[in-house]
Formats: sequence, C-alpha cells, structure tokens
Amino acid sequence: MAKRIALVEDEKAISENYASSLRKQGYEVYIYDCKQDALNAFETRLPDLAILDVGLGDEPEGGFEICRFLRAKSSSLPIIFLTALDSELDTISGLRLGADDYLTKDISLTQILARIAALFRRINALEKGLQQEEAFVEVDALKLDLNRFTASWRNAPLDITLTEFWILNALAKNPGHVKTREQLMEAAKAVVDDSTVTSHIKRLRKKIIALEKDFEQIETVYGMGYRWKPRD
Amino acid sequence: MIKLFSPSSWNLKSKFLSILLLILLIPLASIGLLKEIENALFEQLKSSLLLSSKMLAEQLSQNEKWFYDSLLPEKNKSSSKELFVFPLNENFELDGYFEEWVDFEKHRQYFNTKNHSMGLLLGNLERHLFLSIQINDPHLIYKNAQVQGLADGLQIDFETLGLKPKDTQIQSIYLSPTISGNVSVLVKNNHAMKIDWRYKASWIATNNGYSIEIKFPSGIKPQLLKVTHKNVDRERQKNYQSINSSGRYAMNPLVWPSQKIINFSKHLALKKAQRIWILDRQGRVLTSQGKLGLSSTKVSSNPILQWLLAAPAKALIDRRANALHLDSVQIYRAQRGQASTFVERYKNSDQAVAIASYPIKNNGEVLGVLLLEENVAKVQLLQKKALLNMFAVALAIFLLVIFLVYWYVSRMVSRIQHLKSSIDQVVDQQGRMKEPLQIEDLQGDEIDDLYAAFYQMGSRLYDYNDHLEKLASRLSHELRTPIAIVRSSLDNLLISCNDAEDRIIIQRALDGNQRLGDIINRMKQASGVKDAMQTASLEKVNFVQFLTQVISSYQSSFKDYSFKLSINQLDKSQNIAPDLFAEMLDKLISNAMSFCDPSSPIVISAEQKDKLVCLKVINKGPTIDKKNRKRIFHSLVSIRNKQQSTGNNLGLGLYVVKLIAEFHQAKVKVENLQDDSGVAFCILWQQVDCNAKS
Repeated sequence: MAKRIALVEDEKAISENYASSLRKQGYEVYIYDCKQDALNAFETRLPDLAILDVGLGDEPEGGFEICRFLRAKSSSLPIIFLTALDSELDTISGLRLGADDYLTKDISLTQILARIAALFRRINALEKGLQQEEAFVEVDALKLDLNRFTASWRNAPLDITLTEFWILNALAKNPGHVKTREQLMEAAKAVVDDSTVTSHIKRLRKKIIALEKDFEQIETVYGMGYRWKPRD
Repeated sequence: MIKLFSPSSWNLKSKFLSILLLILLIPLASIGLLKEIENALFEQLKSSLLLSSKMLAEQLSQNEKWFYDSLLPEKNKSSSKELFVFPLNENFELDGYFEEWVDFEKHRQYFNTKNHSMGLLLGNLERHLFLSIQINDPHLIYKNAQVQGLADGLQIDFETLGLKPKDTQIQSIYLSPTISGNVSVLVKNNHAMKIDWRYKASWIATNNGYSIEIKFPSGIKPQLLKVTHKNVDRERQKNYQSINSSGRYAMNPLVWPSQKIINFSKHLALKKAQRIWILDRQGRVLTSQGKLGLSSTKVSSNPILQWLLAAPAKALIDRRANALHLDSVQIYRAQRGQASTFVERYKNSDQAVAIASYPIKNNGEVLGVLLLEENVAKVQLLQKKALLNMFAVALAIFLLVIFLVYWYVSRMVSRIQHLKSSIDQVVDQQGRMKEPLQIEDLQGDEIDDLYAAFYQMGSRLYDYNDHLEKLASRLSHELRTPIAIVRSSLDNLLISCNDAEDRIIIQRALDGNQRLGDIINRMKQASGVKDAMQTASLEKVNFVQFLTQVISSYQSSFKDYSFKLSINQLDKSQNIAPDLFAEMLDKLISNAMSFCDPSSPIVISAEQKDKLVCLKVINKGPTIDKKNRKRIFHSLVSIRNKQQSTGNNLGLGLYVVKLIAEFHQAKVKVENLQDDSGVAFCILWQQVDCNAKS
C-alpha cells in the first residue's frame, strides 16, 4: 500500500512540484494550502508522513499548530518542517515540537526524497521490530542506531532530528578526523551552507550538554570544520 | 586660563551670567544722573532761597522804621569798639550772676591793663538797657566810711540822643560797692552824689574780683557809652588806675537793633537747617535765627547701607555762628542793591551751604541785607536716600533677574543635556542607532522644536538604518521562495528527463539557481553575524594555537596560495569570541586571496606592545586609494574591478570584519605597504587582563 504523505504548503508551485516528484516515487500525496483544511482532513485520517510549511497564508505560525495537533494524535508520525528562514530553525528547535527534521526550502528534491525514505525506514524498523543486522556506532557514551536513526547518550535517548543524526554519525564514525562543513552537509544530505552547519552543531551540542554538563567532544577546528574529540 | 579669556568656549550659563553682569552698569549710570539731579536740586534750592529772601526782605523794607529805630552808628566814625546790645531772655533776674548772659558770653568784650581786666556785655529787655560787667581785680578796696580814701568803683558815662541836637546830653552814673548784693547807683547832682533809684544794680564778689549787673531805667537808649573801672589796689591810694572801655575822650558807639527786627526774625517759620541773618547796611548782624545743623543725617536704619551710603556725619563747621559782622562778595553786592545766590563749599569736606543775599531797600536806599542760608546736606541726604532707594530697587530687580535667568538657563541647559543624553543612549559609538529615539512631542519653544526635529530625524534615521540592515535579510527571505520554486521545478525536470543534452541544460539552470542562492545567503551575512554577536561571549583562548590552527587549515584548504604566520612577543592568552574571530579572519584572508599575487605569501602577523595587540593580514597586490580606506568597511561597498570580481561579491565581507572587530572593541584599518607593493589590514585592540576576566 502506497504511503500517504500530507503536504501543507501555501505556495502552490512548490507544493505541486514536490507532489509530482513524490508521486513519481510511488507516494500518495495530499496537498493542503491552509491550516484549517489540513486539520479537517487530519481529524478524519492521519497521513503516514507530514511535510509542513511554517508560515501558512495569514498565519505565520500555522505549521506549528498543525505539528502540535499531529503530535497529540500520534507520537510516531514523522514530521518534516520546511522553512524559508534559517533563523526559524532555531525557533522550531527551541519549541520542542517533536519534529523529525527541519529543512530550508532551498533543499533539492533529491535530498528531500532521501529524508522521506530514511524516515519511513525508521518507522518501519520501529514498528516491525525487524530482526535486522545490528548496526550501531558507539563512541564514548554516544550510541547511534543506524537502523532506527535514534541516538542515546549514556543510554538516555537523545531527541535529535534526522539531519542532526546524520551529522553526528559523520563525526562519530571517525573520531579525531576533521570533517569540513561541506562534508558534514553532504553526509546530512542537505544544501551546503556554512552557517546552517554551524547552527546544527550548536543545537547538537546543546542537546547533549542538557544530558551531560561537561560535554565537549564536538570540537571546532577553526578555519576547517569539526571533529569528534575522543576522550582522553 | 586660556579658557577663561575666550568667551566662545564658556558654557551657556557663564555666557548668560556675564551678560547679566551688564545690568550692574545701570546703577553706575544712575550715579551720573544723580549728580545732575543734585545740581538741579541745588539750583532749585538757590532759587527758592532767593525767593524766600526776597519775600522777607520786602517785608522788612515795608517796615523801614525798624531800621531807623535801631541804633546803627556809622562805621569808622569812632575809633572805639562798638558795643552790641543783645536781646535778653524774658526771665532775666538782676542778681549779679551771669547765667542769663551765657548765650552772649562769646561776645563779651574785654579791656585789660597789666593786672586787671574788665569784660563788658550789653543787653536789652523790654526797653531797658542791661550791663553785665566782670572785673578781674585781685585787690578789691571797699568803700569805708571810717577811712578816708579812694575805693574800687565804676563810672558809666553815656550819651542819649535827643530829638534835637541840643537835647543830646551826656550822663554819668557811679557805683561803688560796699558789700555783695544790691548796689546803689549814684548820679552827680550839683556836685553832690545822689542815689538814683531808677537804676538798679546787683554786685557779687568773686574769687578774682567781682561781677555786676546794672539795669537802666526804661526808655534810656544811649547812643554812646563808656565804662570806666576805677581801680584802687591799696587803701589810701591817691589816684585811680582806671580801665576804660574807650579812649579818654571817646565813647563806645552802641549797636542796638530794633526789638521789632529781632521779633520779626524770631517769629519766622524757618525750615530745618535754614538760618536767616538780618544785617545792617554795614554788615553788622542785627539778628540771626535758625541753625544750620541737621537733626539727623541717617539715611537708612540698616547699618551696612548707612555705612555704604552716608559718610560719617560730621558736624557742619559753622564759621559764622558767632559772627557780629558778616563780609563777603555777595553781601557787598547786596549792600550795593544786588541780590545774589551761591553755594559755599568747604575745603576737604562734602559739606556746603547755599546762601541767598538780598538787599532790604526803601525808596532806593539800602537799609540792610537779608541773608538766608540753608545746609545743603539736606539735598545730599535726599540724594543719598534716592540712591539708597534706587540701590534697593536695582538690587531686588537684579537678584530677581539673576534668579529668573539662572532658572531659565538651568532649565534650558538641562533640557539640552537631556536631549543629548537621550541621543547618547540610543546612538552607539559607531553612530548606529540602537533603538528609535523616544522623545515626547511637545508644542513649545524652539528647544521643543529642536526635540521634535531630533525625534523626527532620529526615527527616520532609525527606520533607514533598520531598513538597510534588514533589507538584505528580507530580500533573501522573499527570494528564497521563488528560488525554491525554480529549484523544485528543475529538480522535477531532471528526475524525469532522460535526454543527456537536456539534462546538461537543466543542470546549468540548477547551477545558476545555486549561485543565486549563494548570493542570497551572503546578503544576510551581516544580519547573521549580528545575531551571532548577541549570543556570543568572550572567552580565554590560546591565541597562538588558535592562529596556528586557522592558518594551517587555510594552507591545507587552499593549496594554490601560501600563508605565513609571524608571531612576535604575543601573550598566549587572549579574550576573544573564537567563532566570530575565525569568521573575521576568514573574511580578511578571503579578501587577501582575492587580491594577492599568488607568487608571494599572505602574511598573518601578530605582535604586542604593552597591552596593545596588533594583528595584520598582509598581501602583495594592488593598493587602496586613501579616499577608499574608510569606505571599504561600509556596508554594501565593494571596490573591485571586473577582473577581480567573482560576480557575487556584495561588499559585505569587510563590513562583517568591522562588526566583529567592534564586538571585540578593536579598531580596524587598512594601509598600503610602505613600498606600495600591497596592503595590510590591521586589527588593533587593548588586551584585557585575562586572569581578571577568567
């Protein structure tokens, strides 16, 4: 059965483009251009994945409300935020809406497809509890589950988005190796933008520091990028 | 000191106060005015004196009889002293004591011999002539019935004027005291001495002689008189050693003003400090009334003002007080029939007396002179009082004006300072507005207008600054959606396109779109850095290691260029925000790479003198004109020629450098190398004590 994707986007050209591309991939796509239409539809039936724009028509934060509504209905429903503003990424992160990923709109369709596929894989893995080959990355107290795209620090789950998961994975896979911003973005399957990487790293550090105050394994190598600093 | 003498550098308050001091010139100017008023008052006083004297003189003229009644002997007719007859007080008592004569004692005339003297004073009361005679005689010989011989005695000869010359006769009276008390007055009658009971006399022995008062019968008005003290010093002395009031064959003329003239002067209502003199035509004083002294010369009850304004009141030196004769040019003129008036000033004193002299004439004949004096101190007192009033009023006004102006200027200054501090609060050191100017819009004076103008200017400037700063960010936001549309459309095409040629074309369109996206990202760089600065904080960093790391990473990233790090006497620890500092270096080095000559290295040098740290990024290549050295750090300013331009340079890189430098309280400047072979960008900052901070 085809996966149902809800696309809430007030810019018709974009939503149609995304929809046509997604349909080609075999997804069933439903487009909503305002908050109310989307909520009405979600009352009847929840999609398998939701892509939300933050600003919807006259409501600059309409996307947040839909996200809260969906999270209230289902804790496992994958949600991706699309935004035109980098600065909004921090807002979304700060609100702790439980979104699985947040991306800027200049991301390419290929990248978006990769994310959607990854999220569905995570859901499948979680739901079916498939007896897959164990795939873990473990560095210090960090443990990354490559099948479920989940992370934990000292066995406490880390609430990180998919992009953050891939960045963390790229760093932790080769401790001590410097990863440039370009490499990190490539790993995260996102557009190359220095400041976006910087803010993703910042958010990641913040999330781990919330669990361990003295965390300083993600080290900035000025002029180059970042690296996972192994514990002495 | 220099500041003190250049008024342009004074503050507003000093300027206003110095202008205010000019008010002090008003009292100074008024002093000149007061002098003129004084002169006018003098003139007025003189004319009023003249008028009064004229009036009085005319009254006297109408009573010419009074002058004819008076005995006014012609001067120079007799060589003997004139004897003045003074008006005596009504409660006169004939007792030999001279207390009733006290007022006239100064006019007592003395006649002396070797060991003796005789003092004479004449008086007049109710048509009676009185004589007061004082004899100094250490050896009094009384008349003794038992002893035959001479005794001390007085002989008074006098000539009374009859209606006809033949009636004129000389009479003599004799007194020879025996004991203190009433003395009989003898007259010669047929060669025998007889007591004339009409005469009365009272005699008193003193330590050094005796004194005697003699009262003449009513109506006897001698024209000439002679007193002889017949002196005997030893008993049985054969001859007298007489003292005469005049020569042996002469008599003293009597000056005897009419009682009516005296009464006239007595009943005049004279003003304070006024004195009237009535003189006969020869300048003899017939009578004088009034005193020149003022009862009070106090100007103010305030001792300070009194001291300031009134010279210590010296008693007027009245030279004429006791005069029996007056003589001056003015009197001389009056004697010739001319009225005159003048102010008599005393040397070494500010005291003065205004005098008016007027002739008393009858049928063209000058009978006498009327002299009216007034102490000018009264005018001066008036002047001083006016000065005091003016001083008080001027002082009050001055204080009020100073207070008002001070209050006004203080208010104005505080309002201007308030405006300045409001502006200082919202404008940072670099002249950027941090927030809109909050000034209430008042409808008042020019300062309120200034406030309003500043407010308008400030809010427009703020809006403009805000607009400029947000423009790039907003623009990037607005452009992102259409770019996203183009991108997703192209992506869709690419996914469904199988034709290799088409795919190349689509890929080109995607590349162009990507570049457009990059430009937009750069556009919001400045606002991104500003956002970052809000959360960034300075931390203690091993600066040498930091620089080494950054430079080595550049070397590894950009293998076509060579980098050289030169560190000179630099403290290892510096307080910086590493992310921002790295970004600043990033911009500087990328700028250097755009312009440098690839054959020569880009030099990054850091050195420290005392606490001043200087970081330089030096590259060989084109120099920068002097006029552009400040401009290149401005927002959206790019000075590159076509070859140097990569196409998406927005002129924000060096602006970001400036922002980050300012965040570190550092100065940024650019200079050409000495040999003009390239440029050096310098970041200069004062090292903060790391230990204190950390």
